[in-house]
Amino acid sequence: MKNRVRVVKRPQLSFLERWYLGPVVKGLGMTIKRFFGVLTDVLFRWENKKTAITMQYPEERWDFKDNFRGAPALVMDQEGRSKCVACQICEFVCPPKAITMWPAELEDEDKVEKYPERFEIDMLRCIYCGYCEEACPEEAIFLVKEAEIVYADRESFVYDKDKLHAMGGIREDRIMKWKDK
Amino acid sequence: MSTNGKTVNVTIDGKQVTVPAGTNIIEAARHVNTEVPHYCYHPRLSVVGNCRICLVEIEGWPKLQIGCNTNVSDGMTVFTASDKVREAREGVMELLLINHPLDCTICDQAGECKLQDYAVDHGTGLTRFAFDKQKKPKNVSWGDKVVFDAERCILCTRCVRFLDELCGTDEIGIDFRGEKVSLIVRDDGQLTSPYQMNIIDLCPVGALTSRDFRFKSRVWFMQFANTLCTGCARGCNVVAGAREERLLRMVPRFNAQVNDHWMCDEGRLNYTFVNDEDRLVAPRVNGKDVPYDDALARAAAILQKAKEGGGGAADIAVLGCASPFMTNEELFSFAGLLDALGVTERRFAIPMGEGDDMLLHPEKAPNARGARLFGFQDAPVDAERDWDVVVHFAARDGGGLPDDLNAKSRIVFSLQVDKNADVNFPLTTSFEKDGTVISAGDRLQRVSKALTFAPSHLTERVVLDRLRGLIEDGYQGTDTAALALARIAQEHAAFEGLTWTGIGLQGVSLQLAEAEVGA
Amino acid sequence: MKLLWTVVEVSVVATVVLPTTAALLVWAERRVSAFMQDRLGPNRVGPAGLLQPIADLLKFMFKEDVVPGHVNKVMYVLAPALSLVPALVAFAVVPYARGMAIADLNVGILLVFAVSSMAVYGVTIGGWASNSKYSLLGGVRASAQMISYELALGLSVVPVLLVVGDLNMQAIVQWQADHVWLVVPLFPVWVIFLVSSYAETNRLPFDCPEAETELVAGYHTEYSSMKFALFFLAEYIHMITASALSVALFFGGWSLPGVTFPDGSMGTLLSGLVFAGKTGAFLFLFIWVRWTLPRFRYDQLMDLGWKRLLPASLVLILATAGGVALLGGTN
Ligand code: SF4
Ligand code: SF4
Ligand code: SF4
Ligand code: FES
Repeated sequence: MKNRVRVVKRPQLSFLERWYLGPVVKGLGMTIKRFFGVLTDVLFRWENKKTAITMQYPEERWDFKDNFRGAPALVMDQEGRSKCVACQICEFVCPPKAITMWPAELEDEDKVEKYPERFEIDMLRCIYCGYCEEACPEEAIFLVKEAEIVYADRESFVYDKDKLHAMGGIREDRIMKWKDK
Repeated sequence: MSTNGKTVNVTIDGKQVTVPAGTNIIEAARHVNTEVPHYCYHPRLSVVGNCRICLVEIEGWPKLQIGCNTNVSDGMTVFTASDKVREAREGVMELLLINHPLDCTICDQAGECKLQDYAVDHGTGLTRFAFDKQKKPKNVSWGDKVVFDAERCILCTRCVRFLDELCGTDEIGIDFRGEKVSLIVRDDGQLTSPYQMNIIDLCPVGALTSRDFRFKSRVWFMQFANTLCTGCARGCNVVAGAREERLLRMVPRFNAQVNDHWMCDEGRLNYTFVNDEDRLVAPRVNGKDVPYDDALARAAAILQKAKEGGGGAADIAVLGCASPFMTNEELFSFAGLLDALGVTERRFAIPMGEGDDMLLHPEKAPNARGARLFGFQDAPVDAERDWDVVVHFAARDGGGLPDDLNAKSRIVFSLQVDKNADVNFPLTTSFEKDGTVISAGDRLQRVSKALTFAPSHLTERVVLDRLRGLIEDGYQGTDTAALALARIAQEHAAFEGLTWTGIGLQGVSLQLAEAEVGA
Repeated sequence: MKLLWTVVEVSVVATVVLPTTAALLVWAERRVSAFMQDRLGPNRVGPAGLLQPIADLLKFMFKEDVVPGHVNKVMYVLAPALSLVPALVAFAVVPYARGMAIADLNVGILLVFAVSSMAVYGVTIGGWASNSKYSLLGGVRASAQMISYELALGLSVVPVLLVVGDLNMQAIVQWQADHVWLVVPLFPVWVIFLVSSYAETNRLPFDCPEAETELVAGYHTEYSSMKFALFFLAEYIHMITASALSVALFFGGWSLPGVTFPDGSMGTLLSGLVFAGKTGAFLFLFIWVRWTLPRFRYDQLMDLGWKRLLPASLVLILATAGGVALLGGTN
């Protein structure tokens, strides 16, 4: 067996180096350069700053890219009807069990028989993983560009069906299962 | 299909097997653990051979043959997964799915659907059918138990044959032709058979669904337990499915000795009392919820007085009233407690109803035989007498004793609150505990826990054992139903050598003397 | 009258000027450090975040004052005060403007050393009284480090005294105003002084007593609320004092070369501003160094103190003495 222990020699500092002065001065130069960079940003070119990277959150925001995964929401078709058929696949796939629903039967429809009587997503539990969107066979649930969900009590974080529909809005679709399934 | 005890040797996918003559290829393949896919074939129904998914290749035969309608012969060599067979199955799957509405998202069968399974196992996943699909009626009501969806139906005719051949009612027929072909129900379109819900289980796809279970839960959310229907003394084997501690459905489980593949609708729908909102969940003393320890202490005090007074002796009259819904283990513990008190008055009552010549038994309780075996008498209670103490296990409807019974103290185990009880313990249903019962035909079978009753709940067996421990110094109960059964096996000749695992999921037949169990 | 003035002066300096400067310094440190890391730092409370220290103070005051059950109560409560008071006292002899100092002592520079060596007590006692391993190690490190570097610090002032020939701070400044800033002839001495004063104030790169990575927060791990705030304040006032000394001893104090301040209070005020400006520059240096250099390992720290700075300052004393003898001494 090879000798697995490799002794790493401590670098031998020369006499001058042991005063540490050179690197200290070099380091000081580095930091002061950054300092004046940000100072210039703050004083003269706030609008198009170059060095300062902090985002001033409430005023400045990231513009979410199209593949951004925010909170999940339910969408409606162009006639304003929910696309969700309460198949409960999202409920099944959701890793933190954020989705709860109570399916029910639609009495006077013959093309779509099932709908969610209640549909709740607990935004405190949701981890924005997007599995629900991926799993939904009806393309009824989407992760929208909505990430600022703040309340002072737990109950408000449980979004009901109406709220989720309002968030998701209308998504045009070629197929309207109410009509032509 | 008489076998005359002859056997034949066949080779299936290279494996040799000897089966009785007259066995078809699907059954023969089961002997070598090979599953030949099939929709229309069912071992208890006549063979029609109309779905064509069971095609297999037989050496020396020019064309593929359907496994369900081809009996094996000596020296036959069968291939169930050759390239030719695969190609044929893919074709059959594609044809079956041509007009399929792809309803899986809302179909209750999803998750236990043979179309889904075979589409994955044997389908191509593609369709070449670029035209409009055939539209057929959906959500058709076939009475208050069954809902029919014509688009999902693959016309295997299992349902037609079941009602014709086994129920004799012959209510469903095939109507129209060609692509319009569909099922139709006789007369006013409502099914009447008391066994009609079996066609829901029979239907290999989601064309027939249960009105009762409709949209209640997807099957993959449920937990299943192999247990019994306790609606009558037959003890049909079932799989009980529950979600979030609510019992949602029962489907029959195969047991050749008891119920074969079937169960009656009455039993299947007889489970809702389990989910009742007004169930008694905590013990009560004098009308107030109390912890178990307090209730036990109170009950023990009552019983202690009865014991000192001489139990069944003339000066203090004690009555022990069991129920035929109790398991053998509970009856054994109850009998033990009454022994310790010296009580001789032991009664129980059997709720009676209608039976038929298929499965339904007139005794509407699972364990009347067990109650008799453990020394309780199916005889009326003396309502004239002034009872001092009554220990009563209520039946499901709360009954079992005359309403006007005179009793000073009552210890009652019941599903709902009993206002007359001094001490009221909650009763569990057979879906909430493990145990054994003796079904009709003296068959010992197991019931198993399908859901958890109130978390801190003590089962009746534990309550009885603890009570006995409070009255009789040094008495120790058992922890599980299996251990309790072991104790019974030591003390009762009829149970000798029986163990929990020995009983298994199918049960065993007991050799009981007529005298022991009564009529 | 003189007494009254001194009382006013002391109270104003001790309760207003130094704490306010320290508060500003905290703000400055947070913003400067942010800038050096391409961040922005606190900029929400008040204009440019200037009121942040007040918010911090409020937070300190309203925090629960936890006294852990396992501490030595008397010592525990005493320690923060013990570390703050020397920092304030040492400032007494600082000649903060022309002709102005709270105490114009003949042996001013000695008082500084006498008092600032007391500061080690606060830290050590705090570490010991907390009765926790991190605090204790922090306290031990602090005492060892401060005593070691005090030698180098003290010795590095000797050349100044040799050149000026006076222990009075005002005199030292006046000498520089008349001749030349001492940093010019004594540059290496100043470097030693500066390094040692960093070590004395427990600032990076010598903050071994409170090294977060090893000791959580060192000697003040167990402190909270206002007690912690006092330690905090002490550290910053130490910085101010150290910077002021550096200015007074090597950078001409309130003087500016080639500038003569007008007589009267106007001149005093101007000289005070000059002094404040110079001190500010040194404070900036403190911050700048802190956010540039990593912490020394403890053995490196000791090595630097005993094996390099101490001999070097001895050599420099000899060299200065020789120089002074050759060039004919003072004046
Ligand atoms: S995004 Fe993920 S966690 Fe959130 S509801 Fe959908 S599946 Fe659940
Ligand atoms: S997966 Fe889609 S259709 Fe199914 S329940 Fe969820 S949102 Fe509704
Ligand atoms: S309803 Fe089901 S069982 Fe009946 S013919 Fe259609 S597929 Fe077969
Ligand atoms: S199972 Fe053989 S044809 Fe249907």
